Amino acid sequence: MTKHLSLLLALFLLILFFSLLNPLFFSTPTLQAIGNQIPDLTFLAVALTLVMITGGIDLSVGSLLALCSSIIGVHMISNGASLSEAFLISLLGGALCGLITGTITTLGKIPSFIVTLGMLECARGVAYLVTDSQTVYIGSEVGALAESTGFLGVSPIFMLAIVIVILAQLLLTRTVYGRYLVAIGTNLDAVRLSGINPTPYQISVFMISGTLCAFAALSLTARLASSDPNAAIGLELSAIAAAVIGGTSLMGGRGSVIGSFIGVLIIAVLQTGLASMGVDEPTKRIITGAVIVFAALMDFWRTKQRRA
Amino acid sequence: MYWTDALALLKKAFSLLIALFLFSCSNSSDSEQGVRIALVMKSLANEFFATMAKGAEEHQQKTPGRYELIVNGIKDERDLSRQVAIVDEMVALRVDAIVIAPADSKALIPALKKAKAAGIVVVNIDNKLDQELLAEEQVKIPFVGPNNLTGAQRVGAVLADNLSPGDQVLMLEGTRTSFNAQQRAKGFELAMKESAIEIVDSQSANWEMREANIITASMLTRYPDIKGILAGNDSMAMGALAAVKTIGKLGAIQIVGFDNISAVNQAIAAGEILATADQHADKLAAYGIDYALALLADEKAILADRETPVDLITAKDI
Amino acid sequence: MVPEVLLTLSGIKKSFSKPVLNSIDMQLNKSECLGLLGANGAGKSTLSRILGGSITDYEGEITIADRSLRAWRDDSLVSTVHQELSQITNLSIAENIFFGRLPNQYGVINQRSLLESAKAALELVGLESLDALKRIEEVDLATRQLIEIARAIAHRSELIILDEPTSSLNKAEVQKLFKQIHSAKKRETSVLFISHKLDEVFAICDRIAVLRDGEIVLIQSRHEFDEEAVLNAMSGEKNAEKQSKDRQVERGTTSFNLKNLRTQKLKNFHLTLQRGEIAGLHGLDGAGHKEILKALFGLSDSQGELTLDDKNLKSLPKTPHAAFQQRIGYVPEDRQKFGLLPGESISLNICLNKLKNWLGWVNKKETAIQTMKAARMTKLVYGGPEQPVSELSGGNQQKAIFARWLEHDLELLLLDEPTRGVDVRAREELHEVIRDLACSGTNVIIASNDLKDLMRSCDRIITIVQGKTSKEFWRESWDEAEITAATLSIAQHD
Repeated sequence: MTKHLSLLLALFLLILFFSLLNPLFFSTPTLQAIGNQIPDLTFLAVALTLVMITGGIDLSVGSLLALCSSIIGVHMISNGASLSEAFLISLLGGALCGLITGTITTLGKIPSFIVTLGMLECARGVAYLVTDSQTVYIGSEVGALAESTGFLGVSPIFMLAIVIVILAQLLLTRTVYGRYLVAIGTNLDAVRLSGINPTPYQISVFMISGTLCAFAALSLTARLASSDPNAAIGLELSAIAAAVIGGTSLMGGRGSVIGSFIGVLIIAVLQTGLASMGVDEPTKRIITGAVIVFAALMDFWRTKQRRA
Repeated sequence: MYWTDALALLKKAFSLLIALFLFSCSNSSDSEQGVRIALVMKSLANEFFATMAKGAEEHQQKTPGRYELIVNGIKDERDLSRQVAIVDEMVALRVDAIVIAPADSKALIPALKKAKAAGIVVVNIDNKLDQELLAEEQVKIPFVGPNNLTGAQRVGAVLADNLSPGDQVLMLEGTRTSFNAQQRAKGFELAMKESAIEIVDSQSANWEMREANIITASMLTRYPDIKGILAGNDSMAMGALAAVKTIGKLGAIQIVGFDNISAVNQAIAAGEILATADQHADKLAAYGIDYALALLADEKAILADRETPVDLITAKDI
Repeated sequence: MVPEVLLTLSGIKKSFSKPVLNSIDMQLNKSECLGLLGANGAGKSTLSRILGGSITDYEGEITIADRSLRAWRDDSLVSTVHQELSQITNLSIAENIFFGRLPNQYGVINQRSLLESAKAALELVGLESLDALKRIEEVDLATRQLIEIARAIAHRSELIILDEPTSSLNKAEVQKLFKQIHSAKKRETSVLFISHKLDEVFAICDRIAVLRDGEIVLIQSRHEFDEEAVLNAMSGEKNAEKQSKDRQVERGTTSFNLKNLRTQKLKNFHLTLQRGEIAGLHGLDGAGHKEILKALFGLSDSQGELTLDDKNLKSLPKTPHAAFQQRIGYVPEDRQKFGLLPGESISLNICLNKLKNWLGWVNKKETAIQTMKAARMTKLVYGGPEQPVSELSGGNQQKAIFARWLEHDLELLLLDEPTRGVDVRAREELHEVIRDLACSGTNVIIASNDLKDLMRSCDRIITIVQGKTSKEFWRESWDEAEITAATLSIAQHD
């Protein structure tokens, strides 16, 4: 945890700042509102952390989210499927898209940036196709997942997000698979020359990313009680920002899921705080941009300090 | 050294937060000195909504102290998820009323239902919520706004008057998930049908100038006989105008829009665009706020919809 | 004539997690070549990084030409030619030589002037035939080292630090380098020559200083040079010459048979090894001996038949992964680029290919034990399994990469310049690891330009000329001069 001390400090300073400006900000309902809106970004940030650690990038996560969400909506409303059935299909869909990008980028030796950029367009197109460019209203069957429950007043999807963050962090730091992801991102040639075949790892990490998009889709669909084919446009950039704020390197090899989660919290607190003050749109965007750069700088100084 | 400093600072920050939390919890009941109204808009980057927000702020300043206004928008018109989050946050802040221009006519309903359940007055402006779904969910939210269908029909009629029966026109729709886009498209279609003018193609340019420009350019090559363009809003009309200018058919193709933004106003004066509709953006939010204040003053007021005027703008009016 | 002092170090201290330099006092005269000797972790690299300006937070004072080093802004004052080359591989040779001072007008590079000055600089180091517009990554390591030296000369530095400059050079190239050092001295440039090859240090340096545990323990001038004393000073103990273990190669028990190896460079190469044999491949740069290793490890397009321990593989492995499954291991020449995971722990670096069951948890206890075991076998000195491998000295890093290939019961281990950039002591320890492996039945093939090194551990040395075997020498009957001659033989006939 000490690794993330400076990040936590930034988060607390941010909360402190908004609380001083608006006493109502630091209250249970606001915290619940934040807790309710972060799961989708959290899943995407976890996905990007894993991909970025291997030295790749996945720009398609926002579109995949929309696609998976569309699958859930259409399958439930048009085909009358149950939520769990629809979610299972969307999981498979997300994993399949990940398998496609992963295979093309790894075996074709094409930068993941361009392959996932292509997938970004394709998946969005398919999302429009399946929904006929209409928002599909589902209702409380899925909406209930975003409702606060008796347990600490948090929603089921929030708890799911926390569980995934913990599992992903364990995967990354404690399992052989995770260590190989880090090793591949650190020095792909060294891994190859030590007799390990990196290809399955490089491909599967995109599959994991696609699967996490389905989780993100579930949480966004629950929050809106509907499937929106326009959902999450540009959300991949927020997810990248969260991961980088959390100390994940764009060059690969370095990163932490917990860090990315704190990055998500920083972005969410900033958004909510600015909204609670009714700050106008241009100022909001300037402040958000500045905070992202500042947080990344802080992380850079911290690692420099540690190295010296 | 660095770490111990940081740790100490963190501890301090944390204890301050705890104190603040306790403070805000104990004080929560006496923070109701004034009425607080949250205006939740779509993209404030769009001139139409920016004008609307400005109108609301002017309205608030006219009677200072009557109520406090919190204005929030989203970064683009399709960022549904953020708009739902803003509604949640406003509920958490315990505002007294929410005046909202919903980005989607269905997906906002659950969030607004929650707001109503928390005792907040909700007024729907600009884009009408889906009436069937409201009935199904048993929520009553009054709508204050213009009738987009008749507005679009009147604008379409102006175009029809300038063309002859059998002519071909192109339609640019807004984001198809939005109610306004559907209403305007319907209005345009009705007007064209009346004058027996053929809509050869209709595509969504998502309310955006750039997309409208690209779509128009390709449509004009595919259907060289197009005589007119029906744009669901003025941004798309501007995009279409640029495409028409590029191929040198200015004047040969008539364009109509909707919203009366300043650029289109100038274009109409210059004779480049035929007509648009003014829904009085500057007053739209103010109407909504007035309605919300009336509901707050009298809890028993009837939750009826209130239609606001839509004026046709042509070169004569400028 | 009293020599003019260029560089004075007084009370230089520096510690990372533990003290590395402990009050260094030293002087370097103008036009002098000072040899700096020391074992792994003695602090040589740290000292050279301080002088080169990449470490600035040290205690003590350094003056160059009567000014404090901290006050100098001009980075051309001291040029360092690093042990691990740090060139910008995507730029051309010319751009690398003049990087930071590219001739330009309003930011536009003057290509002609750049090319001409680069040619002049390359000529000084005997590389006049090299195309200065080639990208750095297209040339081999030895040439890259000479390019670095050309860069230092071109910058007219007052002090040139050469950190293990000869580790990838052959004899002729070393002589060229020495010529450069002599001419640098004539230009009143001083040279700090960091090396572990005693004979070279004795040959070129005016004075030597021995560093041990962060302190200068011995300084000798040319007329006092004494190999025994230097070795003792380096190790801190009486260094009894270690004799190579008596190891019997079982003649007649062929366990490795390579037939008709063909690649772009190699034409029908054959090689047969007896069980437990250590074979050395020696040749000039580009002779093709490195390509043999690459082909055997599935790193290049190649054809040929390979029989390992009576299992006929028919074709050569196509990927490193396939090679590993045939129990073939490989230690690459450039360990920074192809070997290490720099930011990662020693235990991950060593256990990288020992982690079984990819779905499972990493068992920290297990990897720590494996790390300890491997470290003991290679005499790796380290702080703990979680210490970043980048904190280790060059020799210990190489041991970590060796350790990766231990405990696999390998059929064949391929080593490319295994002792490059490694100090005397670590070198000896690595040789011992190689011999131990061979004793346990692993065949070892070493490709190296360093003949002395090959002669220390090999049973047989095969000289390669233009992709073909030119001659074979067995330990009982080899002669250094003959081997060297054999690396040139066919080249002259062809």
